[in-house]
Amino acid sequence: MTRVQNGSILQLKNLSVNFRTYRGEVRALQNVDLEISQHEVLALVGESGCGKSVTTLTILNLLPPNGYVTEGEILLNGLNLFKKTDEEMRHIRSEEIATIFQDPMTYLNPVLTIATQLKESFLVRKDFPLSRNQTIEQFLATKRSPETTKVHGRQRADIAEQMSVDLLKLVRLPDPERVMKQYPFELSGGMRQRCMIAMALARRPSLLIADEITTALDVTIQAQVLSLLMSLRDTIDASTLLITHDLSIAAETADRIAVMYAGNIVEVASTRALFRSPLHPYTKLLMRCIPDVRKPKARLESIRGNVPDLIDPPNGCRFNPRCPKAMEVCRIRKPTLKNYGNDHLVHCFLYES
Amino acid sequence: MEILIVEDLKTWFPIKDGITQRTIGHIKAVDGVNLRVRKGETYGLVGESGCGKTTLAKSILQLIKPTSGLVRFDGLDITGIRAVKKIRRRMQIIFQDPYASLDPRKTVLSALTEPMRVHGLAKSHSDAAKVASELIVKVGLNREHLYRYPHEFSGGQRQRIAIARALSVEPEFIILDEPTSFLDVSVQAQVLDLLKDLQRELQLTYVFVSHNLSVVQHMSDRVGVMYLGKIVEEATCDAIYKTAEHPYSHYLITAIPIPDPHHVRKEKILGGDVPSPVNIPSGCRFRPRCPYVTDKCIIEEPRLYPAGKLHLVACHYKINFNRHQMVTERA
Repeated sequence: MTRVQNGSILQLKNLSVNFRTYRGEVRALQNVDLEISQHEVLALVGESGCGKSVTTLTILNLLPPNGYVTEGEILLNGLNLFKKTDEEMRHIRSEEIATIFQDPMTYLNPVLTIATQLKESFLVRKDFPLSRNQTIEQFLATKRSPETTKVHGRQRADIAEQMSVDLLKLVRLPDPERVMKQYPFELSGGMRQRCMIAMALARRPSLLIADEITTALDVTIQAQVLSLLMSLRDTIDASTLLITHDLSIAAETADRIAVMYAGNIVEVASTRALFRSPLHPYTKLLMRCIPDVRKPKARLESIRGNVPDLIDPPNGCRFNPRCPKAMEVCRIRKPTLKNYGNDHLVHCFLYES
Repeated sequence: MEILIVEDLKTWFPIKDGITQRTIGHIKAVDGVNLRVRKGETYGLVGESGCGKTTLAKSILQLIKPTSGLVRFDGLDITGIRAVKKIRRRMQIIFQDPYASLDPRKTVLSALTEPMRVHGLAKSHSDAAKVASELIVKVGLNREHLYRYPHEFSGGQRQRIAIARALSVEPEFIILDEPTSFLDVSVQAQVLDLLKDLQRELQLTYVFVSHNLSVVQHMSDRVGVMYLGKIVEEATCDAIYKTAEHPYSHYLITAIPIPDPHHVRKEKILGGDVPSPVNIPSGCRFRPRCPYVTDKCIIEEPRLYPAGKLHLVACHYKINFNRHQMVTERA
């Protein structure tokens, strides 16, 4: 597959997604524009129900039957994903995009051992193994080699077995040989999530989607998993879309952050720029809501009102009913995307003039 | 004055196996907790999932029968169902999930008036309805909301209703079991601030249970850190976040993500996993994960040593975390 010249792996262009429900159409995503460059970690941050997970499902073409794309397109390495057949899409989900979900227990097969499931991740790719003697690091770093070594049957499975053990070591699981023989229910949450990460890496994806991967984990385990993910960045040649509701996690891990609110992207900027000078009123307020252990406050701030119902979203800017700086125009028109310099993008009328 | 005293509380769940359902072991969810909560304060209880926070909360209220130990509320021994019935009204609990804790078939009005009726607090239905309409305003909703059903509300609003319901019986003591973990950050602060305001207004005593350390810090006067069924460190809120002395509390606090991209994590990350509460390690229960472990830790379980004013630590050693070395052995 040829890489696009500008270096972006994934592009969402003007993407809108609706859901048909008995109560009416849910406008889950509205004109979402997003771009992930090569080798970048982009965090998509927002509250529950803002459309983070719908974005993931749309990229993977796994929307439930009542969800459909009304407009826009998704380009992976320059190719439109909506024009792919089901078979091609399945291929992309197994080789190009790897997804790690929130709850590893529901995504691991409960009746198969870790060894079976992990080996399968290696074996799905026809070009496995790339050569007979290579370390796991070399294997993960190679995207696609023109010539593949012809190894068949038993020998291929043995290489997969050995690589699985090495990979489990790489994701810092203690005693990988034993873990290989175990079933998912025998592992703790953190260990399961490491296995999921290992399975995602084994496919050597060009895009890794991490959807709330630490939400089900405890703080100390969360720190372990995040630091693992960061240390693997140099080993694997993949871009990461990190989906989280926690701005602090995004601050620690991402290169760029996209803030979502009620199905809209409201602001995109590099992590440092976003924390130094947030522009959108929602981002500003959201940052003041997070408690920081280093600076305890007498009162936390909150955003008045509630997240809107997306069956009947507010006219104009979807944040206007809760926005302290709402103007007349905010209730009538939707703001366009404005580049505020250094690729700091913001959707707000305050910056349009 | 202490409103709640918990002495050596243990709640073990038997594990049964085989045709005869023989007990083959115990899950030691709460394994010897001592606690004193003073009137009007907020006692924060933090720990990772499975450490026994919720079991402790429920055991205090006798919603789960403790295996052994003593719970005193306002001087009365409340262990045992008969004793606890007398003080049920005065101790309330607010649960984590407002979607599960409200009856979907009851209007808000009947959810708020039922506890008053059960405890005989209102003379007539109209009296109860009057109190309910005062309560609903107090928690920041409108009177019209009384005639609606739970599904018509958002998570934050439901948690407000759950708070109003707990307040309907005029309690003195409320256990808040992860009251905001189902809510979004933008709404979480509203509920926390409401709880703080109500505490001041009604002189309530809170036990605030949470895994979210930043939220506990925001709410509490004193904090107890739980690990595998035991409190390993207890101190004032300031002390625990600035000068935690137990290695577990120290690593727990440094693991919190910081909302600042310039922040560099100096500390190492704690390895390993929480052991199973069925086979609790000998000696100190934190020793398999502790980087400062010695032979003494394997043999002897540390008691709670005093480490300053209102500060208790269950660790044999005083450790300088900046230099990564042990300073002295506690006596």
